Amino acid sequence: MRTHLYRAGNGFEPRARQLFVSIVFALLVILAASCAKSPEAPRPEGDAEGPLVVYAYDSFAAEWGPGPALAALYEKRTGRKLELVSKGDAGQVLAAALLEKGAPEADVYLGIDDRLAPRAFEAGVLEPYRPEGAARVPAELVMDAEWRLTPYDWGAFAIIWDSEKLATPPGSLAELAAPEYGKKLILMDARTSTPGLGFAAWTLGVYGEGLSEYWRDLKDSILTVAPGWDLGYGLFTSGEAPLVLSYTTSPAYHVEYEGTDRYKALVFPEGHPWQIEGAGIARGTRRPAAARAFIELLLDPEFQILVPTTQWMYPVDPATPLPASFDAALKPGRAPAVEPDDLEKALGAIAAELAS
Amino acid sequence: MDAPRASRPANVLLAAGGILAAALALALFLVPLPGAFGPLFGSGAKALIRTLNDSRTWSSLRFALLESLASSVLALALGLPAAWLVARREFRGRRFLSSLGAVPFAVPPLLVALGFVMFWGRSGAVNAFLVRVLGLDEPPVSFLYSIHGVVLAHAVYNFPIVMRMAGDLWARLPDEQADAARSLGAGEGRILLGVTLPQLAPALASATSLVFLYSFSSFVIVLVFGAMAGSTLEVEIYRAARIEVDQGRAASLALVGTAAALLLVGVYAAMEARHASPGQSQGLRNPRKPLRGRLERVAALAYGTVASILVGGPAVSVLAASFIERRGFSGTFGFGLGNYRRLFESGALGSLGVTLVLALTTAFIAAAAGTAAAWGLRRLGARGPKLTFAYLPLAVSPAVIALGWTRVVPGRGGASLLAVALIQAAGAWPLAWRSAHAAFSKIQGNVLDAAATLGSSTADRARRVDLPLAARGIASGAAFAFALSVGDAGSLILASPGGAPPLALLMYRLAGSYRFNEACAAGVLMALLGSLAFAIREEASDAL
Repeated sequence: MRTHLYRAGNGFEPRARQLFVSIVFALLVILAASCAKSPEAPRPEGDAEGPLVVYAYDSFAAEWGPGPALAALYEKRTGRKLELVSKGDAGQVLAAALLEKGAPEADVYLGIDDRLAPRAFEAGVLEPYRPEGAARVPAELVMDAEWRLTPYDWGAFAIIWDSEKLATPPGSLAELAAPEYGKKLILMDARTSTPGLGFAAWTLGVYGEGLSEYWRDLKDSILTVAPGWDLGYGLFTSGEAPLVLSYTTSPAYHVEYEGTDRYKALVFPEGHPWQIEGAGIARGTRRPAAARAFIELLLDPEFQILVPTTQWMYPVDPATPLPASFDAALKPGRAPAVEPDDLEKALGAIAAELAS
Repeated sequence: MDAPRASRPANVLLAAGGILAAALALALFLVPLPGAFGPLFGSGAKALIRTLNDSRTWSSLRFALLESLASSVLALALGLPAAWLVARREFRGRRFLSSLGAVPFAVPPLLVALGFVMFWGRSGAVNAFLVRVLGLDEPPVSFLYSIHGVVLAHAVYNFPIVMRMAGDLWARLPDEQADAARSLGAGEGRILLGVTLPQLAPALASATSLVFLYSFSSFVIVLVFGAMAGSTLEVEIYRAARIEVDQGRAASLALVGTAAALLLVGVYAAMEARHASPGQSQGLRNPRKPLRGRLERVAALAYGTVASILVGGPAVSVLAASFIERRGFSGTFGFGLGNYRRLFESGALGSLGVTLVLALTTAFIAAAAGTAAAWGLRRLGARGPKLTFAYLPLAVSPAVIALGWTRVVPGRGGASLLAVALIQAAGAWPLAWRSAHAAFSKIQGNVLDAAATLGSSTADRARRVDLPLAARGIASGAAFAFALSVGDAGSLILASPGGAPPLALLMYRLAGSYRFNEACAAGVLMALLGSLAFAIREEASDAL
């Protein structure tokens, strides 16, 4: 009853309602039309004007990352400005590359690591270019025979040990699953983080068919599985557990900035999964010459020397001098490689084991 | 009769603004949807079938439903006493309790999780205290890394929604019915259960449903505390979109999640339509009284203690961490402002400014769109089931919206702050629209009838009657949107605007670069900003 009165008293008059509906409809049409792609502009000869656009992940472009220094260096060398566009994580750099295929807004994609690389190659979004510094890169760090990706740094995943919280650390990947390390390990989710995926690949490469069995034992050692490295490592430095998944180079940070060597990387006899990070030229870039100059710069000694203390990774040029804190960063052997398809299946098996 | 003519330009402006805001409300959800669901049609139904046949899809749906149900019940239990205290009682610290509600909102989940860990964790404050006092060998409190931890964190994160929504209604509940029951000899307990709670039912249903939906689409907290218990659909969407770069699977999962949430929203809308009690006369807030009698004081004290531990504990832990510095070559800890100093040296002032601009933009867009939609639907006479239309956006999770936006506006086009504000406004939509809608439906019909009788035009009525009377509700929604924007890092991580990073993004970058204590300092700044918005809203609504 009230409803009826209400409408009689205050509802729109029919004409006004019609008007309202048609305005909304018109706006929808305009909206839909504006969503449609505008025709592509003709490509000019030679390099286009404007800054070189590089998609990178967050920590690379951050104030304390190598980004700002790299941009200054690039401008000094070429006279062209460098615009680093922060794309979140490496996965998002690749996702952006795939979305922009054919008409890239970026000139260079930076941060695509060896695990993401096959997707980028398969999609054909990268232009091959072999920089002059290529000869200085050791063969084991070369990401691609065609040089669609140029590596600029590398690291190895490892378990970091808090020596003040735990007397005897595990000596191997196998020992990590021993009962004495119950609830002492913090991992990262393989579905949401690069180190997590690296760890999954590590266990697959070492255990193969015995993967599920290993994770059944390992499950009791795990305190939690963090969504990302940042939170997982934060839990570790808060003292929640004495073991965490990170990089062999992590202790170097604590030596350099906190003056403490309580955190140590554990080298396991099974070998460690490596991570190699690279950058590649966007296929169809409007600034090919400028992009090539950028790739050259990544292997330049002046950039390579920035890598250790901004990326906390190893430079790809072995001749680059390392700071003293990197004495704490061990260079481990390499774990067996795994096929992407096998890894995908393994993730399902691991998730099933953790959920059981 | 001069007044209406003189204000015609104002009315035209209002009408134009209203239509623009309504279009904005539609655009918030319609633009990203083709982007999010487009891949479904691209690959045929193959990706969808693959996803539906995957047991992970269903186990994550089951887990999400379970934890959301438990979370919303606990948030209700935690928020209801707070609503009563804030709305009906005057005491020292009331304002503080009220603005404290913004803290969990204005802080990214990463920091909420760290706060919980620093308080409840194995090396946290509670365990450290108990181990020392009781002389134990092992930390006794160990519920955190289980579904219990997930539920507690969600409840603390979301109880302000219950406090605000129930509190706003409670402040204006007429006392007549309760007084009548009292004069007939009913005890306070019976009055609460038999009279007050039924009167509050609409607000409680809304608030609980929102908490449910927010918990349903929760991500970081589910992973860090519940990783060993299960994962939610949101996690699966994230993985598909970002790690596997499998857009077909992401879109399929988004479809499953949206369908499930849509079902819930439909049930809720139907429920609310049935419970909508037309007889409530609203308008004036009841005067707040001091706490009466021993029982009330003891109850308030008990609740205050529990709330301070649950909300204050993790918050104080983060605050303390922001002052802790690791320094010197011995690696010792010290207290000081060093984290804040370094924070501002690395450009936090610019970040503060950007955060402020972004949050104000988001609050404006969300409030304008929510108000226009609420007002428009009311004018169209939409009630009951027809209102379901306005609830539909609640079903679209932030991950889906963000996924859609990044596909619709790829590249640098998606990197503008405005795009982020639009994503955030979509996320804050449930709060903004609900607050405005509740406020409009509380305006007494006879006020409008009177206005109509006196010959006011539609726009005139909107400007002179509807908007001023609903201002409190609209402001409430805007404050929520502001706090949400300050603490939201998800859409920033997705859209990554150029220039100075907003505080939430700065915090993530710090946390991703070994700088946790500086990240905590950034979190403290965000919490302050959010609380400020809630405090200003409180001030404004008192003045009404």
